[in-house]
Amino acid sequence: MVNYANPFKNSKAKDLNTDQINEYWVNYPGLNIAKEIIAPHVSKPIIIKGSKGTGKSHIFLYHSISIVKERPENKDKNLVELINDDGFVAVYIKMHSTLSHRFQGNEVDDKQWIIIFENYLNIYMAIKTLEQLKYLIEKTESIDQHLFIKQVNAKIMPSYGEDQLKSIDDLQRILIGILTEIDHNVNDSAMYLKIDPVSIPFNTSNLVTEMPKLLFDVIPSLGSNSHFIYLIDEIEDFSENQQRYLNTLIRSFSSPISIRLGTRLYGHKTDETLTSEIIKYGAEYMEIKLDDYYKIYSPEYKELCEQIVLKRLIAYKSIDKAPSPNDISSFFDSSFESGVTINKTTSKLKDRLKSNLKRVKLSNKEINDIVEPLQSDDIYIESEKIMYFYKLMSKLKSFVFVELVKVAHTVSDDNLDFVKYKGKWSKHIKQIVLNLHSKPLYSGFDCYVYLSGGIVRNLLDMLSETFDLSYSYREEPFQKNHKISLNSQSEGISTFSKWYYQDAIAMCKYPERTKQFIDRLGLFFHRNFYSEKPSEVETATFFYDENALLESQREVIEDATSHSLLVEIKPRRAKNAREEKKQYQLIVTLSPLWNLTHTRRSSVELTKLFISALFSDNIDDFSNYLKQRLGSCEFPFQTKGNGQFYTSPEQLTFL
Amino acid sequence: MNYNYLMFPKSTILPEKIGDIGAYDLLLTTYSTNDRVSFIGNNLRSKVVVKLVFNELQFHDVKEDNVFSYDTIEENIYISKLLKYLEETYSISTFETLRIAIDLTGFVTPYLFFLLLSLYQIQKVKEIDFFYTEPIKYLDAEYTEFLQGNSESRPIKGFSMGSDMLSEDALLILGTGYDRSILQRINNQETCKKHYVFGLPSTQPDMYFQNIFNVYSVDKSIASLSNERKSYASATDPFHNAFVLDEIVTKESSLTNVKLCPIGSKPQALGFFLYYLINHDKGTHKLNVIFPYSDIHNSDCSAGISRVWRYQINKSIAEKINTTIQNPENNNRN
Repeated sequence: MVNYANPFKNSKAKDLNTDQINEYWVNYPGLNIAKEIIAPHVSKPIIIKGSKGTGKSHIFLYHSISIVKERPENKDKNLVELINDDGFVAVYIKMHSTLSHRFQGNEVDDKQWIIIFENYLNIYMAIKTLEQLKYLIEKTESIDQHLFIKQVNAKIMPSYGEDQLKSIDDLQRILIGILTEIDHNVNDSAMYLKIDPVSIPFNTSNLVTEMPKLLFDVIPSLGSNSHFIYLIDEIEDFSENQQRYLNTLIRSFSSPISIRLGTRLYGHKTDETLTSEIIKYGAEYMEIKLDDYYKIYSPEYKELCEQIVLKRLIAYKSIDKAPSPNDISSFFDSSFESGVTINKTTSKLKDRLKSNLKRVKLSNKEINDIVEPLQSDDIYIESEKIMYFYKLMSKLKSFVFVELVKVAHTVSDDNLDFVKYKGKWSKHIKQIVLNLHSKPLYSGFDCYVYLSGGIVRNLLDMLSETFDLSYSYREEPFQKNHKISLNSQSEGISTFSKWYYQDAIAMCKYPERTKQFIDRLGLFFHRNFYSEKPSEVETATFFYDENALLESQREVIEDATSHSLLVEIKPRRAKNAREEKKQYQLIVTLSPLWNLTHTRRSSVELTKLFISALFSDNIDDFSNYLKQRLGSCEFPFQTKGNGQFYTSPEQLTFL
Repeated sequence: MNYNYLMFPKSTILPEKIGDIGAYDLLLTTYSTNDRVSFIGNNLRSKVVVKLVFNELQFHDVKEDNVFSYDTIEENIYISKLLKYLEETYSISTFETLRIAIDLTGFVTPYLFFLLLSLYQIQKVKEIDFFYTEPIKYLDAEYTEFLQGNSESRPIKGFSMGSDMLSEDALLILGTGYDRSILQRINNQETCKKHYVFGLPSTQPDMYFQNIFNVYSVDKSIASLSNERKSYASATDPFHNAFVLDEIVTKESSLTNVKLCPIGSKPQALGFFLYYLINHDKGTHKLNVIFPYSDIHNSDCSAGISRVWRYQINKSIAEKINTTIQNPENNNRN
């Protein structure tokens, strides 16, 4: 049994307790999240979108009153002081994934369901609001809670007698009673195929739109510019019809009440209201995309990652003193800094060259004569020569000994083209050599930052995986003067990458089709990367003409994007062309599955033929396309192609 | 602990002796081309045998007598149409006095749950015999996929006593199964505290390890979970499963919301149903049953027939347990 504390465990905000939500909070460098994302001064609703793991829930929770009041500096403050400090009070309301299914079907009319859902949501929001504010209202002597309840009674729930509604407890009890009755009727509707309406003697939407105002009215000495904000998380779990109600509701808010809605990138499914009107982007609501702030190569993102890791390490008590950002890198061994020793006598790239030359019927002596001028004591230099030799060789019409040996002798530093070639390809070739010799490809803290793909949760999960491995290898991770080995890092990153893929596919709408698409795409990038004559460096980006896709194919790309397997980047415009083509990258977090680098330099076009092969039900169509497409990159550089065919990352072995 | 759960009768039957079992009035079984799944339907004696075609098993346009099919994704609608079909075709409108047999093998869990709720609660059936045919092995061992396509965990119709949105202190009791993608999805969707029930003894000795392999590969944190969050119940004994659920929930007396998710063997699912039947109206906590709904269920993933089990759920025993729960002193005397 494992009996140590992994500081990176619990990467989801929902798994953190109140203290941890406060303790692990990091503001995005250069950005005031409270001011620019929660933005209390903006009365329009704001939809905050982000890929999973970009911190939406942490942002919402951290700014919600239940968490704010628990910060050490706020423990003695009452509600008035807390609102006056920040200029707002926010309540966090989480939706549940089962919500959309409970209010549909059972042969009950959709219109009837939406009325039941409206009431349910309104009452639920009111219950959650009271739950989060009750303690503070009671703690604040200057708030006349009896006046507040009296106002609620008079203006929202007039049919209740004063004796029924005397306190916040009474109000909660009434609302929970109604909600429970709705729950029972919804459940019974499955058996009786009809639903009994619950009699509610007041307009429930007033609870949401008016109750906070009534509360503000009875709070004396409240700053004139104070705001009340609903933070509704995970609205992607609403059905389209339910979102129509939400769109209707958010139109009815007026100052000082506003709303922020958190969702995955494609979670806001409609702009329509219940009356089929459109809520207008810009004029009626605003949108913030968290992914736009998280660019993996930006210094701000690296700083954010460092700060997040530091917070975790500081909480991890076994560290002697609070570490600094520089300390973080020192906890990791780095292959590119320390160098990886490879026994030159076992150069696999050279072996592969010899074996390829044998395939074109050359004798052992002829092969040795060709290879001899390419040899070097330094395996990386030798590898560069071999790869350049392949480049020259591919231009030959036939592979005869005399020509080949002549070409081999032109490969030297006297050849300016070779020097230029090295400048472009040396890093790539180093990766090929490391991969061929099964050496760790991924190491160093920066590598973790890049491979997180702009998703901070990925960073924590990768570090968590690495920590477990390193600890089990007795490396004393994140302790002074101890380094996490290359193997632990590489293994931790690769294990996480596989888990990430499996996890994302399990959540996809079209798991089989989406997995097939990503598998084939990854395989294409891998084969291109590790071919004898790669056409482009570090390719894991593609673009296509929107018109070339069938609807079913577009669905798959959207599915992959909304589950963070692909990342949409700025469109590509061909020279002298008007139209822009959509452009995507395989998320860098998946790079270890195909041994690709985290850098993305060039982009390939998915032609109609390529698209058809990627989506074909017949695997032979893809296999044949790949052979044809990579024929000029893979030995013997014919369009017919060669090479073993792989179908998924699990089967992937190079050579 | 309420040992009365273990009082329900159960027995094993050699496959070649299945024809010796006394005739039933009604047998409900699953239509399948798999020998194991169709074994009871083809061999158990019953005046009326109805083979149910479930859309998830991907059998379309089956042209056979005594087959029932209805195109819907809602289990309650399907069962209500089935009851109507039994009335129209076989003049079965009251079930109370019938000798009913239900073959669990191959039955799609949400349909089973809703059928049983209808029979025990609405039709006031007193007793049902359940049959389960054990496989010798699953074809792809630990890599066997029982469900395919997109899946989503949600409450089984009629088994949602209350939204869990109001209760922060929910507990999900997960009867573990093989499907990694299904486990992964539940793990993602359900963020509450979890308790895992593993099938041990398993149907076949190697199946326990195959199960463990899959569960741990989805959530490594399970390995470090304390034993308080893990329980074991026989994969072929529904009554042991109900007993274990009772034990878990009794220990968590402060909970207001308990969710059950049976994705292991069918006898385990029956045990989860039995626990619900006895406890759902206790009022101490809300009980919900959730299931990972999926478009496609693999109908042909097992090989061989080992043993046949017969379980009997008699409502008088269930009522007795219910009474002992209301009056714990009675339980002590038993």
